[in-house]
Amino acid sequence: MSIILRRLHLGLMLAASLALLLSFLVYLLYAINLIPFPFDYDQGEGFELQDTVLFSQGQLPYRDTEVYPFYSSNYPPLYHALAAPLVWIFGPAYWYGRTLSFLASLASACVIGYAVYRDGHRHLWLAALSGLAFLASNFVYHIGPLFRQHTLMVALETAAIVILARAFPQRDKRGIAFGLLLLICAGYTKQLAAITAVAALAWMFLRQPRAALRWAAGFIGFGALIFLWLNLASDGHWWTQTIVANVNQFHPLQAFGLLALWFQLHGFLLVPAGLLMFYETYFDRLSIYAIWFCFAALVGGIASGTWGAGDSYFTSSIAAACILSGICLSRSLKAAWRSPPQLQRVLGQVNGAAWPILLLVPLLYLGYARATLKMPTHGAFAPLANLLGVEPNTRESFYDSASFDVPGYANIGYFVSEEDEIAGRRIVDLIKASDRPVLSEDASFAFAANREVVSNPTQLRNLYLAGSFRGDRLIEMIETHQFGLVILRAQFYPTPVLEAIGRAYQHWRTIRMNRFDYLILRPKHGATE
Amino acid sequence: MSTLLLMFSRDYTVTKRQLGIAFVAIGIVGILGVLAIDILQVGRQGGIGPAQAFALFVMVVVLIVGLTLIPLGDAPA
Repeated sequence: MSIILRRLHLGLMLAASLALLLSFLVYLLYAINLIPFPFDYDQGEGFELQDTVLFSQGQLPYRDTEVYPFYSSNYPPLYHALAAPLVWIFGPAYWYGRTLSFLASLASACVIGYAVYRDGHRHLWLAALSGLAFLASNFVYHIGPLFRQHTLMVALETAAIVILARAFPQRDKRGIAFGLLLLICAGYTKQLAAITAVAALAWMFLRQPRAALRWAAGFIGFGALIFLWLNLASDGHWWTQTIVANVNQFHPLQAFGLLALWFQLHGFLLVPAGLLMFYETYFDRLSIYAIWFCFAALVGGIASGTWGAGDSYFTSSIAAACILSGICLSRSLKAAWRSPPQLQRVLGQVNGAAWPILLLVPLLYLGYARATLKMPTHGAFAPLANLLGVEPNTRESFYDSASFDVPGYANIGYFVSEEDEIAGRRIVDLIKASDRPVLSEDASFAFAANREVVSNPTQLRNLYLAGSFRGDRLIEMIETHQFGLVILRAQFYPTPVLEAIGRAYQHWRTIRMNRFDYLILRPKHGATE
Repeated sequence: MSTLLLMFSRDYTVTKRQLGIAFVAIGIVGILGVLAIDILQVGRQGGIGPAQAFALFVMVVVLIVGLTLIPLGDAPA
């Protein structure tokens, strides 16, 4: 009986591994497909490239948006500064930023696996499954290979948490300093890392209040010095562009929809993660992973409801859930639960590696792999899609278990095609045919046409709503037809700017790229060449 | 006062009871704060909206967890 059970366990573990490896293969192919694509795939990638270009020229991207080219960034500098040397070598291009993000997602998975191995009684297989589970998440999949700073932030904060988990209780000063330095790096990659920083400091305070306060003073002081320097170096624009412009309207239904989707997709991991948290709360000491998970899920979940946010705001909580669930399940398989008197009967059975545990653990990962399934349904994937019984439910040839129905869930993940690149080239040709600057909601066309990037529409919108952008000069340029073309994708510009465009420009063509319609407008009264 | 001084000794660690008391305090203040939005009617229409209801739920959970932690006494949190 025992041998049969062991073999069954082994078979199910192999099946779970294969399912998660299949998910990783799809992720890898998605990255390989997307990385060389020379245009925006996700709106805003081109503006991150523009930030990188500015850093490579020794300039800060935090600027006065009332003057030409009306450009500014709302993101901290680290990711773009890291990619800046690549601009010197390769010129402006998307592939290195996307590669950097993709590698950062793989690094996160490795760190998660290491944490589960180290803190979960050295079960190598479970550690590997935990890392793969992170990469299998639909939310991670979306943003992993994009030219966005979010994935690097998650990698840095995950590494920081895993280092602090061991260093702080052992009073390892170098380890603590390094962990906190990584947290500062994460914060200066993206502001959202503040949630993880608060969680880490709260956990440190629970463990050793005196040491925590001393470390926190140094941490906050160092972080504040960088903040002040950036503000001084940018003549105060750092504050306006990265703080004021980031306070956006909250949409509760978006947050609740994403929270429900987060649970629907990741429930197979969230339940064991929750069980370990419950155990730590009442029968053991709270780990840094549990505190991080709570903060990241709750605060990150609420923040996901703000305008411009989305499912990526859950990636930190998914990293924490992968670690917690991995430790919980690994401890169960290794029969390593320490039984407090109240739980001796229950945990004694779990520690005996009773048959339900042997079957449940791989079944949870199998269930998770199915819950997070996303894959192309055509070409080489068609037979597998048929076998699994999945049909395209998002785009014409892509299946995503999350569907595209929840507001805030990024409607991407499908593969780009040759037609998409041809469509992008058509837009670039239109820009090249004009001798005037072009106002575009997508910066990639300006890069491809070797033109200046003019404006950052979402940033102008946010500044306008915060009362920090009037746009007089931009509106004047629009009304006097100083732009050869206007290219709109989602009409993100502030209302007065869109109204000026409506008065002075007329629809000329619609070009579809990446399943989005790009509206090409030219000046009214036949003013274009 | 002596407890406060003790808290800042080198090896002091926060207990489950202290964490429970903190949670209870946060829960009560949070619940009152969420309800106060309706009582004060700060620039909004009456009635508890979805965001308020969610915040209220979270604060009730925090309060309950806090109450259940207090009996665990001096066990380290």
